Amino acid sequence: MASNQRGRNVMSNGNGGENVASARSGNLVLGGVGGQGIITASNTISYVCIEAGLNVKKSEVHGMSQRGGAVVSHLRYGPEVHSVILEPGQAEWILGFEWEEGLRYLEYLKPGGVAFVSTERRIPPSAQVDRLGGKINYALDLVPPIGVVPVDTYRITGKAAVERTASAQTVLLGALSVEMGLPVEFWHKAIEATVPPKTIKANLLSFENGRSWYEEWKGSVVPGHNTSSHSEDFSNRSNNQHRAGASRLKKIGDSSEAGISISSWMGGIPRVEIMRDWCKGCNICVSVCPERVLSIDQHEIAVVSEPDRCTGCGLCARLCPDLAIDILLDAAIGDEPVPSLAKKRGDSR
Amino acid sequence: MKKGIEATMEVKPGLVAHNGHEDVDERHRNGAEPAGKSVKHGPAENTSLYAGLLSGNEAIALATWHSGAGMAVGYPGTPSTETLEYLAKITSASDIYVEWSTNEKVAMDVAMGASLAGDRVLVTTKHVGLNVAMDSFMTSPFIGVNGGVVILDADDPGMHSSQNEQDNRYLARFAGIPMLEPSDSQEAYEFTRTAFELSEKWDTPVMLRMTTRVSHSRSKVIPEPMQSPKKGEFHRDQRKYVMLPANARARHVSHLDRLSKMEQWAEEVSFNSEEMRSSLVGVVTSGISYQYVRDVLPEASVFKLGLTFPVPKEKLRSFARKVDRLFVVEELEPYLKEEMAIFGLVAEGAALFPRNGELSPRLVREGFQKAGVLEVTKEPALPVGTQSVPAVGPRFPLLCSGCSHATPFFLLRKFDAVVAGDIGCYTLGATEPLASMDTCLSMGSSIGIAIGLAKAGRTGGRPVVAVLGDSTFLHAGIPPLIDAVHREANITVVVLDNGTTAMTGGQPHPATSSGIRGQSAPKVDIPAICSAVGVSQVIVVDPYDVGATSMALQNAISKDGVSVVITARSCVESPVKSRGRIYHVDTSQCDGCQLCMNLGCPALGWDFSLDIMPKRITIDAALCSGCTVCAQICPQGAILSADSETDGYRNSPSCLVSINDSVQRG
Ligand code: SF4
Ligand code: SF4
Ligand code: SF4
Ligand code: SF4
Repeated sequence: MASNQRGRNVMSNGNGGENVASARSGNLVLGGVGGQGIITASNTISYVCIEAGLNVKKSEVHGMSQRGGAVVSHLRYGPEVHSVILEPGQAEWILGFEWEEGLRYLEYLKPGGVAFVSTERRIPPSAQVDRLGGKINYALDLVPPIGVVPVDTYRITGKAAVERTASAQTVLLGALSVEMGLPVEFWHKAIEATVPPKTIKANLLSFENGRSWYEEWKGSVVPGHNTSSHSEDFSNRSNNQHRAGASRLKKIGDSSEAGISISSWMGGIPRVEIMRDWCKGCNICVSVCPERVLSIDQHEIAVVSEPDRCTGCGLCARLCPDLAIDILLDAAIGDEPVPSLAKKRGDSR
Repeated sequence: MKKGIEATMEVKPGLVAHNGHEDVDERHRNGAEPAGKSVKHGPAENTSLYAGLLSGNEAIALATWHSGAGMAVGYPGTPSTETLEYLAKITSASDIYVEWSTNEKVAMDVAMGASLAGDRVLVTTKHVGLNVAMDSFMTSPFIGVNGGVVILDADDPGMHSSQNEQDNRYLARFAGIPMLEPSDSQEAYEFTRTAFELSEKWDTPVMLRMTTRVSHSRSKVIPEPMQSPKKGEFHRDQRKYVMLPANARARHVSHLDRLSKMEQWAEEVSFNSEEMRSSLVGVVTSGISYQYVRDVLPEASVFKLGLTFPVPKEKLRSFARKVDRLFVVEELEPYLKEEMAIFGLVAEGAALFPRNGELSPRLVREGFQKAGVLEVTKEPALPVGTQSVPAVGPRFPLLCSGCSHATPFFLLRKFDAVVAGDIGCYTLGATEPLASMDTCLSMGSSIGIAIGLAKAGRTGGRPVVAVLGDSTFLHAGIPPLIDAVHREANITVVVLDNGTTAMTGGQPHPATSSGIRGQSAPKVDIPAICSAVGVSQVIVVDPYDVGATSMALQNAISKDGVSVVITARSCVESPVKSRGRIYHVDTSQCDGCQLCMNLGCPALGWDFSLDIMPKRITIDAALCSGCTVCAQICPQGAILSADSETDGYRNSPSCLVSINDSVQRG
């Protein structure tokens, strides 16, 4: 091949590189936790697009991911759609049904795009495993990154957050509908057709609440500036909008986001002492220890095999029928052991 | 999402034989009513049919019905499961026989039988399921068909919900069975219609190879006119149907003859298409990869293969001549590259696109950038400021709140057992905090692995336990149980019997008394099977009773030989959600010992309103299903229900320590 041809050998990028949003085409990412209604919501949006005479493709997740794991759906519409999966930076909109599950997909957002993220937080058990330090592995910070509109879905629709009413999340669709700009009748029709019949009323209400909330919110942003150019304004404003949620969540962050050392709250480092002569190897301590600190050795006697994991909870000592276990506190500085037991924990209450 | 009737369930722990299962069956029946009042299928799916927006699997179901098929069978497996469910929903029993089989091999055999009797039949399986059916699959083209047989094989690149990501295109080639690969729902529909025709034309089953992304994406489907069912009849033809060596030798010759004819025919088929655009770059591709190529390289010429076995040699050669650079873009193995290399066509691609995992537009773009076909643009710019987003932690799948599998795994660690696990929701028993599973290989393998571990005998004196679910036990657990009895293996088998095939969304199986349409069906008795094969000790226990379950496991493990513990309690999620009394934590009682957190129940979490260490626990009332297990194990008696005075769990860590006689070791 001649060298001048080689120069022309490079092709132009596909539509992934384009950044033109119009009412006739768009890309969305919906993220949340299994059971939150992500599939239903993506059905509703698809329905709206079909009503508008557009082509739609959307992906779904089945199987393991539905067992409380992260669920994501990509949705693309327009006159012609090929791939159902988006590339990073292609989504005009992100709907996060849960705070962290909205933030998780931010890399998909286009510059100037909007991510509507519910302030509902479901902190997974895997984020609560630092039992010694109490550190929470979760993006607790409520100050939203640019492009993110935090949506207190429960407050906006007048529901108590503890009830986890699924229809509250339809607030997100209401807000989205303002941005997508397809006729609002299509949305009503789509909601009626896609949600369980008993919940149509509640969903329509949430939708309208979401719409008017977002229109008001948008109207109050300085005209000519979108959210991405007004970070200060934006975060202040959002904190005001969500004072109730923010203050509660702030407290979580303050208390133990960073984690602390066990000696600071125990008053020392717990150490399990087993009187080998008294132990008859009944296995009780091994089976109750929440941290799997203990095991039975080849002489059928309990031993401390994972000392660093002990939280000093005292269960083993309390339940040992032969009183063979004691929990001591080693002072963090100095070497004088402080006798202790579960009583010490009572103090910290 | 399941938005079902919320059946209330009174939870009364105690040693109950197969409790709850009568209602499971009742609920399976009510839950799978075809009349549209279905619990599991909300109106959402009905709408998508109305709007013509179908998943790949649903499109295949619709096409099967429209092709006048008389039967559809399979075994649930992601990503193939919804096909039969949807077919059962849109048809009635008089239209078509739709049913789950005990395993994929049974399904394949049932299908061959029905085909010989003249029915068109669909078989559905996930990729690893086809391994189970392989024995019959390999010989099926020798016998051939009477009514068309279409095998929906759904591969799972990226292993969204699988134990491996084998590329079953090789299996079609291996068996010499023609293979079609749709790239969206419309093609899934059309190719299914065609596949039935092809199967009859070529007198062989036809494979419809799907992948997760095609199966689980929704796009518009425009159906074609319905065909009325074609009912043939069985006619004796021993030389074709009885694979004695003498007959099989002759059939092999016809099989090879057919293969060479099919290679000719592959040149003419309409579902392979050459799309000429720029002559600089030509891409040979199929399935979902085609969609990615179209997005990433809209100007490139594309040869799209709808028929990926056999491939059209001449057509591909002529395409190669028309372009300067020839690429193959395919997910997983270099199957097409190898097929093309056989007739001397060498294409680029092997070093550009990964051989493992799911392909994506991003990976396709990066591959073409590496090849110098696309300019390396900067990464799509992130919205200004998002760099400051705090790292988002992982969110793993979890057992449901109140899952009846939690207790057995929670207890197993106290026996310090080597646990051979199996495939189902309960594979999550391998993950923290339960973390009580040592192996997981394939469907039903737990028992065989346990036999091997026990026979080899070097487990450091730890007892050997096999754990598998009810549907898995019936699927592939019975032959190894027979082996264990006959070989006197010293193992304990725990059958987690939750009365459904839970992992795939709650399908009935032979030990439930209902079929896919909710009709009643004779129920196979798992304890009786165990006893019948000669297991001397079969204990049925309610896993919601921690003390009783603990005792049952203790008994079984300390006994020599094979013993079986069946933990019987219906799944909380399917066929309908069940909820009992909701529990809460009395924070003045909880001392934060974290024992309850070891259950891994998603309803249990730290109480963030209290700024003290250790973290006290709170229960999310919206998630608690009232299983009572955490209340039973709490050493402080801090977990209570509304009427805790009468529920008797206060001060009862005893369930864990009630058995203080020593476990037999060594
Ligand atoms: S509970 Fe006490 S007697 Fe039983 S094994 Fe543990 S230390 Fe030994
Ligand atoms: S005090 Fe005992 S039961 Fe508690 S974590 Fe330490 S070793 Fe385990
Ligand atoms: S088991 Fe009981 S005492 Fe321990 S953390 Fe849980 S609720 Fe608190
Ligand atoms: S919180 Fe307790 S009672 Fe409720 S589902 Fe979880 S383990 Fe069961």
